[in-house]
Amino acid sequence: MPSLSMDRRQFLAGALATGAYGALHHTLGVPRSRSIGPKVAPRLSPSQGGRILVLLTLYGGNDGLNTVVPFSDPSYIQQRGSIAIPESSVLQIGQGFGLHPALTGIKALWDAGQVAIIRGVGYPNPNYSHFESMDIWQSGNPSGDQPTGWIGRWLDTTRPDPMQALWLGANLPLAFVGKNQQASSIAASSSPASQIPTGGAELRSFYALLQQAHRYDTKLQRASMSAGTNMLAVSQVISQSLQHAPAVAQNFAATAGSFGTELGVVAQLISAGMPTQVYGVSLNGFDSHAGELASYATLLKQLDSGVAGFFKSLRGVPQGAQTVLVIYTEFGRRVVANASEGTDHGSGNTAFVIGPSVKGGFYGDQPSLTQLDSNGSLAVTTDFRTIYSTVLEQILDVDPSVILGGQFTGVPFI
Amino acid sequence: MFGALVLYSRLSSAGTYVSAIVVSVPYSRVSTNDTLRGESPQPPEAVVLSTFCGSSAIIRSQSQILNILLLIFHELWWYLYVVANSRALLAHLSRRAGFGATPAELDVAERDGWDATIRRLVKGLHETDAGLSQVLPPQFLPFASEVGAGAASAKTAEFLALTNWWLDLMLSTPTPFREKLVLFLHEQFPTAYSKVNYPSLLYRQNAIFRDMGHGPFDTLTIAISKDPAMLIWLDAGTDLVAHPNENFARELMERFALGIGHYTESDVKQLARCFTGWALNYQTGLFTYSVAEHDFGVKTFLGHSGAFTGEQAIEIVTKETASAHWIVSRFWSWLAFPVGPNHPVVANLAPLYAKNRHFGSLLESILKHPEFVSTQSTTGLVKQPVEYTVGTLRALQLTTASFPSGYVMNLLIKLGQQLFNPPTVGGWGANGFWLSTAASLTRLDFAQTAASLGNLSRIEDEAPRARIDALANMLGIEKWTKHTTTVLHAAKDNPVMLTSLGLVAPEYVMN
Repeated sequence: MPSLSMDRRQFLAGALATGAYGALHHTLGVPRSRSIGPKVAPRLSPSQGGRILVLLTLYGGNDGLNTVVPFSDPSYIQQRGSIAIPESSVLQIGQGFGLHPALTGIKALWDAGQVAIIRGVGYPNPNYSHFESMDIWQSGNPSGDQPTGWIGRWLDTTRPDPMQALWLGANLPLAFVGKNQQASSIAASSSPASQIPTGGAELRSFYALLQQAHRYDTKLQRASMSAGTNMLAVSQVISQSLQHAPAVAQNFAATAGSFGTELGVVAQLISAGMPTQVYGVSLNGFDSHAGELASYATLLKQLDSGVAGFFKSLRGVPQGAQTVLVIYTEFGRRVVANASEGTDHGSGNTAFVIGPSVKGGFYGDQPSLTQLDSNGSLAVTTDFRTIYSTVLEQILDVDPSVILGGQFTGVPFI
Repeated sequence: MFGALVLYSRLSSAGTYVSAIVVSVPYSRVSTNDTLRGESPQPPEAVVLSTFCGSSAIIRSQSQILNILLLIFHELWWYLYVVANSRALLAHLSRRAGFGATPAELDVAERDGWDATIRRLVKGLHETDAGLSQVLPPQFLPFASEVGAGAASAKTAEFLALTNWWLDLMLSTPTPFREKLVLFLHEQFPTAYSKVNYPSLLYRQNAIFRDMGHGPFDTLTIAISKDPAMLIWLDAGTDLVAHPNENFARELMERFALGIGHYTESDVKQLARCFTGWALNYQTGLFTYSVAEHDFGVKTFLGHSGAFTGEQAIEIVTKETASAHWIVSRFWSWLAFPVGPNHPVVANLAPLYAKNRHFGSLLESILKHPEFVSTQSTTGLVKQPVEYTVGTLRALQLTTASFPSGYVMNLLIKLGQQLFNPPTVGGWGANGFWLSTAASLTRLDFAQTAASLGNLSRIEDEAPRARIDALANMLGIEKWTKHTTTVLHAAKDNPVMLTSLGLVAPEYVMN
């Protein structure tokens, strides 16, 4: 893969210096000079150590025990029964563990020392509601009452800039919403044309005028106008980035579905040198209450080809080396299978951190499969905020205690 | 106090006046509500006074005369307020209890008045829908022939037809409040094609919402729970005595009936046992009950103990006190402004709802509640994508067939609210959730497409300087802000441009 070509660098500098991006900063009251080129772009250059976070949310509660399989533990086979993954088919990764057979691409990354597997992750007093537990994870607060997300609060500590965090999809999850700032969202489409409004310049300029907030506007109206204004700025930059970036999405979109398209767009934007520091993508369907064996394999295949394709397409791209993928889900599944050949909501789960700059290996203690909590769930050995702590400090360059409201010893995966 | 309030009202801007007064005297009108007559939980004047004075101790020292004076003042004020803002409030009512009104429909509502318009809307919840015969439902292959992977392309076509059918019904129905209720119930019992996989089953569930939605909550919940779409969606069809599946039991309490925090993990496990033996027969596509797989033992949950069946369990859960608060907060949040189960307005309405637990009565009492016309309510909601889309098509006299095949369904996907396919059992978010940059772009593109296809004669027939008011009238907007007016003024010579801008103005994005 060639390094960042001259015209890609030129277009981006142009968009940042003179385009809608600069205009946006103007409307937000940020001095223009501070948002131009050098102040923003080099923050991410590999030479300065700027890292990029890609946050992957698995919705539904991933079955960590069938992702990183403790095949050597007899009680695993015994409790999982017909949905256990046998030793003969797992991809062994040492210490008596094996990856689900669908995870061949992630296994290759593990062998290259780029995969950190964190075990027993969760929070005290597990909550078995999808929504409450996801709110806890996304807010970064086990009370579940915090109305802002952990990435959103990071955004609140930074200069207003709609390019800093991008969510792939229509509507933002809590993680990406702060008190004063929120991430921008874009469609999961690699077509440059689909990322900008189809109307002409006249409609766009009228639209821009309409989105200017005034004193008497309600809070919701102002939120609507802010989204509209940010859209005009973001869409220009995204569209131009996609136009100039190598087309990587097609490589793995076919096998990874819409999730692959999302990661493909992220890979293109990263390789185009976007100033974005956090990307958010998601994969649905992990709520495996019934008939887990077949559907789960299909889903993990999708996950695997997306993740493997993503890192493959970033090989040789300068920012690729600084890209870190964090994979989490709201909770794990119960150890014992239910009668529907599925598993019910549990806790004490597995999280992944993947990337060329990641120190691969196991982190966190594996919870016992026999000494379960009163709900029949795995114990929690690693507070999820210890992962956030490392991400905030090492990737997002902020004091974690400001975001998490307390000190958490990080997990040394970077 | 009376004088002070009047003085305050004169000194305040109109908006502050409305919210100050409505918030100050919130609940006395409830006692005159038809559905609740004679069964008010406490004397209305006491509620009025407690809110006025902020202390129940003061109430006891107030004279009866002052109580009566305040009541008279409140009723008089209410009457003047609704009359003075008649058209604007009727437009608000038609957006919330429907998908917006055309100018002609607003004329009719204005002639009938506030109470009669609410009566007509509520009556529509129960009526046999004339619109149903106008918009024919899609034809589905027999269920058995769709089992397995064979009929994939037929199912894709059926699903699109199903989506268009419901959208066109929302557009043309003479009883829009009923379709709005069906939409709310789709959000209360979110069930998605991504897992259910049979369009015909989603159609059957939708028909249950329409037929039974206005009635008692427990009867509706039992019907929905035994309906195949839900059996597939929450795996209830695979319950067995040995290890009952907890999915349905948990969501029944958490999402459908009680809300979080009102049950324990033990309640989930016990409740799950009640539904053992419930299954879907894949030959017939109908509910089946397997006696051999039902757990006949004693179950203990929510303080109740007995050898309960699934039906009995639903009756217990839906009659909990917490359920009344949860349900009222859900409907209030869809119709007026977002509230939690502990909000005062919920506490006010919950006992009334708990008398019969009929959704029709609850919807009526929400529309008649003074807070429904407060500023907090009129400015409290963002149009959901379905409301935005249907409202726009109605205003521009378009249907799903006016666009290329699949366009409207794709639009809803891009806005994040695909009908019959919510992302999770949590359904969709609300308000700020719809205000993303991606959705802004989609709305702008759609506005332009819709304006270029729509019937703009109501704009084109006017002289350019009258078009801005005509646009507000067409889109059901009370009044453009000064700033929006200035921008629209610059585009008044181009009706398509003008209409496109109206559709993306912040006033129109709100509901």
